[in-house]
Amino acid sequence: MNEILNAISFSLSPLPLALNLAGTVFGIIFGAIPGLTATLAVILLIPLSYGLDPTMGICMLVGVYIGGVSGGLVSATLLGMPGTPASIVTSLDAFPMAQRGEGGRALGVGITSNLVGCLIGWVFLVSLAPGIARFAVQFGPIENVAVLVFGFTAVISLAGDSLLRGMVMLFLGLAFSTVGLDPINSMPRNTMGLDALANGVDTLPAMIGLFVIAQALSEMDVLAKKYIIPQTTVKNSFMRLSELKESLGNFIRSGLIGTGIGILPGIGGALSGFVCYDQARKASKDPDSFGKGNIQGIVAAETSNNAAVAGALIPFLALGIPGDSVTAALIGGLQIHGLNPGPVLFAKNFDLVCNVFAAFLISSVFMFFFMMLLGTYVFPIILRVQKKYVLPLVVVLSLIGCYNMNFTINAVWVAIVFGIIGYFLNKASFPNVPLVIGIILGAMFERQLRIAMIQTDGSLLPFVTEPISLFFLVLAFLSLSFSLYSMARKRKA
Amino acid sequence: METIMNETPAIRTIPHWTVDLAVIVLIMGVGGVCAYPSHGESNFLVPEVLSSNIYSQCIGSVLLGFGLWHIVNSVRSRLWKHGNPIPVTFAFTAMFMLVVYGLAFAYIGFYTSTIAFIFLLAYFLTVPEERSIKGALAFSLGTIVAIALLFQVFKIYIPPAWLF
Repeated sequence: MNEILNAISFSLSPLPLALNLAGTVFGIIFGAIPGLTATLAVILLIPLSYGLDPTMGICMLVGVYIGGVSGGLVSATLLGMPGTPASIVTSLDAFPMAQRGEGGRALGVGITSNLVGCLIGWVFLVSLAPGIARFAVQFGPIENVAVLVFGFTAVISLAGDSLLRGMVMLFLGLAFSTVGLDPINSMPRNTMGLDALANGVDTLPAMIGLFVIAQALSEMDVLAKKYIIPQTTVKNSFMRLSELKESLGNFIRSGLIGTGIGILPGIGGALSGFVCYDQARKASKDPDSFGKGNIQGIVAAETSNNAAVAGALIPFLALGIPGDSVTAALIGGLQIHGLNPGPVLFAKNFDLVCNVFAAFLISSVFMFFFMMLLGTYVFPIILRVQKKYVLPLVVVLSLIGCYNMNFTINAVWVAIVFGIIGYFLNKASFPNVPLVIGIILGAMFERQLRIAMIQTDGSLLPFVTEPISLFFLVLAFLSLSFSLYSMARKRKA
Repeated sequence: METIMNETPAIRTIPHWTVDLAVIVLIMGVGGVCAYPSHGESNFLVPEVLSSNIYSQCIGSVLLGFGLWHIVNSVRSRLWKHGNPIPVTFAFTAMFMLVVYGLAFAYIGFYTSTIAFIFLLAYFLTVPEERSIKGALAFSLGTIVAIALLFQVFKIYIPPAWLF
């Protein structure tokens, strides 16, 4: 505890504080612009951190991470264009609120949820990092498959009235993920002989295409409407006490689930939002209002996003295992200083680990005040410009953002092609959320499933005899059954 | 393609079945590619019950099965005949511009093509009676300067091409 207090005291001194706050603002800006992600922001600042003291450098990068994930809320709310996988679910309820002129309130709910998610995750990060990381390592391929199946059922449940369409879109995503190199033996597969497909479908550009470009194309169909959202009121952006009380259960549930899923390497933030949103909807007395501007939807999505950030830092710091693409980039940030995350870091550089904990806390609190006192006023004004100005900018920045992910023009084409696909899917009422999740998690699902089948000699029995796996499969079954029951009840009504 | 003239600007529509059919063709096309994987078995080290090909074929079969079911169901229930027309005011033109921009972006130059792209979008996304070449040009030039500065500050790279 003393080490943490010392670290907080150090992090509040002028230079580390300035770097942490600058990193947070930089991250918020990147997260708020569709196409620019927290990963890209961290990668861009890694060279800058090289010239700094390692502790200050990594604290700045942690600020970027938190700012980037939190900033995704802005474009998801005010434009309906989630720039990051973590903010896809947020747009389901925040954008309808913004369309009703309640963008400021939606932002306020999201920002508060971000802070709560960070704080819940922080408690776990500080108190349980080594222990939880050791538990997470017990998750083998069988358990990971069960977790992913549970996540998939949650995503399918969000498909609205047609679970079948949601399932088909998930399978379409899994099909796209089979293009490129086979995840086990690295042989090219389903590339149709095209070199451009040899490395598969880039997941982030595909996501940007489906959510940003497709949404921009859809907006171009309604020229008579000059603005994407109406004039937004920024009054009442702070959550009322009654709303906070009402959301307490949702905060705790989403924070715990977000941290738990964030800990699992590779599964992380993209899935936690869907699972928490699905659980919040099922726990609600008015599930039909989800997707139409229910603040509990925003609470679930944003609390879990930020809790997942802390969750992802747990295996990153304790074991050196990156939980998502940003922590993978953060490893690079440590390595340029000759440091490697893992048990050795805890043993030899515990002060640095404590400084990361302190930077996480300070950055979360600063993010809250910056976004509440400035962001909720500035972003609705900046983003409420006429469509003819905002849409070309969003498209250009999204495409250049895709190019900067791995410096290939292929990524730009992936975004354009998936943008056109997403446009038609929207018009034909096929949900594109399951498609994105299928693309993002497909390769991991295939790899884990095939390794599990090798380990079990093709037997499915261990999936129900292993307790952790059984637990998640039962949850998946209950989740799907509940959705089918709700749908049947709605049809009957 | 029909045109409804009672609103400004005119809203063009296409029949519902064309969009639905386009999506089904995509689903079945991808399903077909997966159902007939383009490489043979290649894991010589460990015998796999669920091999690469079988995994791919399972997914492909689900997609092909759904596609066939959807076509039969849509024809039987006359869904395609009675579906509401879908408005597509500017999106098809924008898609064409996007593809041309992608090519220009890669081969001609980012800044050059972006000026033209932003100018055209800013011009055509304005309702006809308010369109102004000067306004759209000023916006595209101002934006490109701001983007160039932003890219310099944040060290964002642009693809190497023929022009700037």
